[in-house]
Amino acid sequence: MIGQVFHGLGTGAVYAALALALVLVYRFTGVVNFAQGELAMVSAYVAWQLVDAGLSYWVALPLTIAVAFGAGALAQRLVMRQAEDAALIMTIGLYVFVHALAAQIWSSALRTFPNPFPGGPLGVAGPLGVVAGVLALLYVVIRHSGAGLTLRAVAADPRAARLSGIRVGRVHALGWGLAAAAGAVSGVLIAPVVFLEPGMMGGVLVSALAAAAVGGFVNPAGAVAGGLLIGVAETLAGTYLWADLRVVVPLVIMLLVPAIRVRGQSRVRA
Amino acid sequence: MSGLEVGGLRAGYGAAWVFHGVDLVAGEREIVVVLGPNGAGKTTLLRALSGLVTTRGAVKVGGVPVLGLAPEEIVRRGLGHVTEERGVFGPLTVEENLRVGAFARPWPRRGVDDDLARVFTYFPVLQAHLRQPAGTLSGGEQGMLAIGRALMGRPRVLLLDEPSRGLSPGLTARLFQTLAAIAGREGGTIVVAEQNARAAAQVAHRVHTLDAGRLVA
Repeated sequence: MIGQVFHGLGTGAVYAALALALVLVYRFTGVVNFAQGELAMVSAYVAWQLVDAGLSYWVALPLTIAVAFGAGALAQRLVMRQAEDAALIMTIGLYVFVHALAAQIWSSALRTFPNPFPGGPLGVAGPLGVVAGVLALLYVVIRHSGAGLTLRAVAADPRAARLSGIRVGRVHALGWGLAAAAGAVSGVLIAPVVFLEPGMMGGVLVSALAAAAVGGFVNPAGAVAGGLLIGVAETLAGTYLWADLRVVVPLVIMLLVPAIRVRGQSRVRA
Repeated sequence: MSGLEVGGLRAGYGAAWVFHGVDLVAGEREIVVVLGPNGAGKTTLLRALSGLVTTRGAVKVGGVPVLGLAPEEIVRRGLGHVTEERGVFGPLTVEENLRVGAFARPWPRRGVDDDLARVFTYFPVLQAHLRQPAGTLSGGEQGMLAIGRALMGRPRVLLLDEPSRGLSPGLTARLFQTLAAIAGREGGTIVVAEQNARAAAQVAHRVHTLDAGRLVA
């Protein structure tokens, strides 16, 4: 039982990272990014290529995060900016495009990805530590840097931000970049567990959406808690009740969100 | 050189022009008051100057043409705008709100801390609430914060939309005294849109009235 909980926390860390990405885009640009999982998938391929070229995992990971930051910012500048009124539809278009592009470049063949963490219950500390590190880094950037201040100003009141001379478009690109960086972590962490292939993030995205919903799509801590909760619940339900039940867990959590969230938010606001 | 020059300004929402041909010149260290009843188009006039509504004509800030630029670019060229609703960032602290105002200035942004100190000389109450979320301030304090934030951008021209709204007559009189001090010391131009003629007229160098889409001297 304890072993299953640890295993669930490992999966939950992956959900948490992607949920964090969804929260960043929603909070700073007001849209749910359905392409977030696909950007993470491409990041996993980038990491795989770097490791394949002979780099150590711990060099490839930060490099991948940096590449993902640039790609996310670029996606906002090149694609999202073109149709801000139809942003949600644009993210679905981006999903389809990125998915097809990845299949074109890397084919749909299943590939294995090296796992740098030891097996067993304690191996879970690795993914959890990486996600905790990303969360801490995001906290520092958002709360204690000038760029973070512009992000929070735009989230609070875009028009007032504009009238303070903030270039809102660039700030949106920054938000997308940070989100893609957090999402890259989820892609790289899940790749050794599932096989590397263009459809690898489909299930993760559903769980991450539910996890983000726990934080009301605006609360990073709530999204991380939601991710860990869903990871554990999926594992326990799949092991002790019925293997196919795993799939239903995110949907059940989404239905329960109003009950969980209201309490969580009032505590945050106080 | 003149702070603000407006020539033949037309502005409106969509197809309908709210006014047709407004001319206005305001020099440095001047306070110009635009009076008019509700619905006369005062707010639209200020929005036109900062690029928030469709506009035709000519607008120069410190001699630089700004018409047609995006609002954030106009702000960066020296036009501060405190809107009717103040638009303070509620979840951000008072200090963070003020620091955001400095983003209107070009790189490198030196002397931000000196500017903060200067803003506190005009509005000491802000210093007392430095670490408090701006959303917890009273309406009058939020108005002061919005003006302070605009000053952090070191504007050549500062637009104020009904700064007296929600203030008692006593506070209104004090606010206009402060505005007079700001215009004198900062050397910029202040354009105030007001319904409250009496308070504004005491410190104004010139008063215009906006009536039926025309500016009357």
